[in-house]
Amino acid sequence: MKALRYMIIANLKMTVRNRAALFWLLAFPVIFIVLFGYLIGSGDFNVTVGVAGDDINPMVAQVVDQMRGVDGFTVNTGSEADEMAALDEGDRDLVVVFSPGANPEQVAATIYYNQSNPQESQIAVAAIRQFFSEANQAMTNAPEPIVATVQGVDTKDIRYIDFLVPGILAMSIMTSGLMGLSSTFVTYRERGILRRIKATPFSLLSFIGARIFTQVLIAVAQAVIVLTIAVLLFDVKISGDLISLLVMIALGSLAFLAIGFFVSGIARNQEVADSVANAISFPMMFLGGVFFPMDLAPAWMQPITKIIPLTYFANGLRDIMIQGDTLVSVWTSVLVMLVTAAIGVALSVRFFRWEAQSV
Amino acid sequence: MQNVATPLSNGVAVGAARTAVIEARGLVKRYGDFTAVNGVDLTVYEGEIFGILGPNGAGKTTTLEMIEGLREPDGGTIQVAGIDAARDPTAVKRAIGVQLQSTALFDHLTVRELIALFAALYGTDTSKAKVDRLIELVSLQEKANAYANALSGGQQQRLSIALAMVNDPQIIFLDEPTTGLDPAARRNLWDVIRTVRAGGTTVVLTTHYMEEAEVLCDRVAVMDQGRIIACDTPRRLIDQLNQAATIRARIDNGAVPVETFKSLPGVTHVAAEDGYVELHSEDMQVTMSALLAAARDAGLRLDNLSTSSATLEDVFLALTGRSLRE
Repeated sequence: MKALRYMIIANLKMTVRNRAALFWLLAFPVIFIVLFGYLIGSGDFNVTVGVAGDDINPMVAQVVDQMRGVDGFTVNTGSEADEMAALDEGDRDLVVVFSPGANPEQVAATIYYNQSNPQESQIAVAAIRQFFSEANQAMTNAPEPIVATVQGVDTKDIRYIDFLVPGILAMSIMTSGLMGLSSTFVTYRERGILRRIKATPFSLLSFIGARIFTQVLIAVAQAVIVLTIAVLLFDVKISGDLISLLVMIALGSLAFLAIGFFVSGIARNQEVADSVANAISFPMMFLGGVFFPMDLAPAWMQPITKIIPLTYFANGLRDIMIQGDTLVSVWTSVLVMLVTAAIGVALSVRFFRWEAQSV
Repeated sequence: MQNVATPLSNGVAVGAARTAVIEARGLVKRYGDFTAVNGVDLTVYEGEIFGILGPNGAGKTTTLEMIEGLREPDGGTIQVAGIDAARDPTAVKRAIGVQLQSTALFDHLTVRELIALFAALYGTDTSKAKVDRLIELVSLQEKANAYANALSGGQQQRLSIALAMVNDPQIIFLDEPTTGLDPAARRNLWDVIRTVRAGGTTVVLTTHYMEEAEVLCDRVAVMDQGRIIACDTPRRLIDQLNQAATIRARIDNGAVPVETFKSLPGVTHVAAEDGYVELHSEDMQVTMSALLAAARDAGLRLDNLSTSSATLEDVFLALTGRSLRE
């Protein structure tokens, strides 16, 4: 235990003293948040919604009334033809058309959005979907559907920055996990440090364990600092409990560390390690819904986003931060992180090498 | 000339009281088709500085790493400090200290921190007193709080030796400890190694510098192409050559009387070129006085007269027909 403790403390010292790496660890996510936050708009997100068919039954009328009360929604009602025309003109971000559903208790809501402005529309759609899901939940849980309220939505109205921060957090934890561990271990191997460790009675498992523990600790510290900045600078709200959030962060870090460790095993040198890590992280960055919701990405892309671990990590963080979910309610994300970590570790053990090409 | 090398198996002079701390028999290591180590037998005795001398690629490092438990041999047996290395490599690692060929240290940790860290990795005392003692052993007091990556090559090697000593090992293994060091740093490291031995630790080192093997080592195994071709004290290895000394001179005032010189007592070989003459002698004193007399009789003047003893370099040349540096 003493050896493990010394190794972890040494790892932490080395990380903290490596100023350049430390700078990027923090600067990278903060720059992204500030850049996207200010450039794309950090103010309250305002969605202009057109509604048609709000008179098909009293329940719908009630819901539309509540929609009017939500900060960030401007609601116009009119005929379907008029509202669709307004959408074409760019006067509406999206239009919701209510129509009778399959049975008397159900109402179908079709959401139309303007594809010429996909980014804004996607966020608008995400916001309206969330509103509906809250409304639905409230109605089915309450004894009388008609008295359903959607309170809470106004405190959880999605601003872009609220959507962005968990995404950036997920991305930077992925990057530091993948890049950090793979390049560290490749360097250790190239410089013979792994061989030197092998010559001591300290076991490989302990050495790796100490490294991973350190990295997870650093990821959590990184997240805390980035979140603090996001809260102070952009008033980002964290609805869920901090424990769930931090555990989710640790799990995500673990999953990507495992992949990074595998990369270090297959890469011959630092350049290869960096390339492989980039080849893994770039697609994830763009397809994992870091910057924009992937709900409305082209249909052919959907399956890809569904198999990317980063999607689940980002969504897990988002659900906890925005919806106030707990670890239990984001169990899919938790499971995907654990499975990814397990696969990564299994591959790492299989491909681990103590030394660079010998003789 | 082939007989001057006494094979290890029957050539080692075994003092009755000496205890073997390493016994390796028939070590073999192959990499694909290439046999890096081909049937090596080694016995190292307690308290000696034992050198493995040979050119790059001779198999020195591989041999060392098999004994250290870092590489699994393809054949042979190894006993280190009474432990079967194949059966319990971890116990071997606990009993020995190692310094590997490429200095491998973590960046951003100080000398003091690295020593304490390695002491912890070996599960031994990490107290300040112990760390101070090791820093003093390798004379790094002034650099105790400097980062390892800020040390000079010689200082890094000394730190490596301190790290090899954290567990108070019975034996330490140093793989080419002085390669790449300037002469002053090299001599400095020799002093450190002698101090370590004086403290009761057996030292096994590899080198491709013959003068290092000659002045530092009690016994030397000469290794070439995966085999040990000779093993003895440097003095005896050299004495076993017929050529005990070389005498060189320049003769300006006449032709070199090669035949006369060849007939001088003790001379085994004469070479003359451009007024320079080189005599190999079995008995320097006898040859020298006869040479001086012969020159006087012939009225020849010997300029730049110099003598040199045979070295391990000559031993290697005689055994392999190649120079160590090739």
